[in-house]
Amino acid sequence: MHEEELIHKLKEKDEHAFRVVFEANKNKVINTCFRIVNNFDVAEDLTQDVFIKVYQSVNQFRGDSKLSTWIYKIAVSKSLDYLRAQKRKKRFTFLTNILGDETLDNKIPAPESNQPGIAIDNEERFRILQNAMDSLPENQRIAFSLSKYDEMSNKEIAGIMETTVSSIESLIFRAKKNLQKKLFNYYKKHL
Amino acid sequence: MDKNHQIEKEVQKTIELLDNIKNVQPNPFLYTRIKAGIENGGKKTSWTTNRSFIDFVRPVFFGLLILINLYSLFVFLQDEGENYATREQYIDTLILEYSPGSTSEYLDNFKNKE
Repeated sequence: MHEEELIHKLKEKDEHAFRVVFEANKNKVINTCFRIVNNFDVAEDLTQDVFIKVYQSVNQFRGDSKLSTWIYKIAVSKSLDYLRAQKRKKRFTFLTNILGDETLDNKIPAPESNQPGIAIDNEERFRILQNAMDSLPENQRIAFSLSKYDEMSNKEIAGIMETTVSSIESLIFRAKKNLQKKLFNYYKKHL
Repeated sequence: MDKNHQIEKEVQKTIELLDNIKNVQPNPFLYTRIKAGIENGGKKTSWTTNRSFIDFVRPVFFGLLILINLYSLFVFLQDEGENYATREQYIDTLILEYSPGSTSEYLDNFKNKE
């Protein structure tokens, strides 16, 4: 089925077309959400929200980009909304006021991530990497995650983040540099 | 120098972990959940529904409360204006009754009864 035909059928609320779109994008959507929120259950809930939004708002899709790009854009936006809501909640807690230091070693350990592919002896190392990743600026972290984990092209990431390809290249470069710097400083203190 | 080399080795080992991370797989029942969500019109849990009801009732309740207070204030000020003379007399009586050394009619009556 061609994309145009698929979009047309999706707009007519065709269940088969929706299933095709779901099957083609479910893995990338859940992984995109998972890389941003670091929690599988939350990522699954967000994936559910993303596809409900796709079904309900497909009429607003103007066809300026690929359907998949539009879907991943929703996934990134929903995940960031979730993180911002969590941050707002945290701001009001007494505990956060005490532990509010944003430095790498003082950060609360990342939430349980059930990270596949990471052996138990590497868990501590992974936690350090995750904290370093989380401390990167938001746009650098997203661009880097989409490029590294989800293997998206810079052009695709530029479409999702609504920026230019050269900006994405710069964001990924700075993310790598910052990640190395943060890890270097961490090990300098702890070795 | 040796320490720097060791740190760089650790950083490299940590960064290499990025290549070992595998993708997560969605739950096989995710599509069923999404279909159910669509059939419900994308509605959230009942708590969210109740919450939106509370959000609607809250300003109405506070509005009513303010109106009642304004009305009470209005009635009180009106009463005060009308009964100003009586009120002044009443205060004078109170001062007379409760000031030290004053003779109270109530106490006098009490003593007379004894």
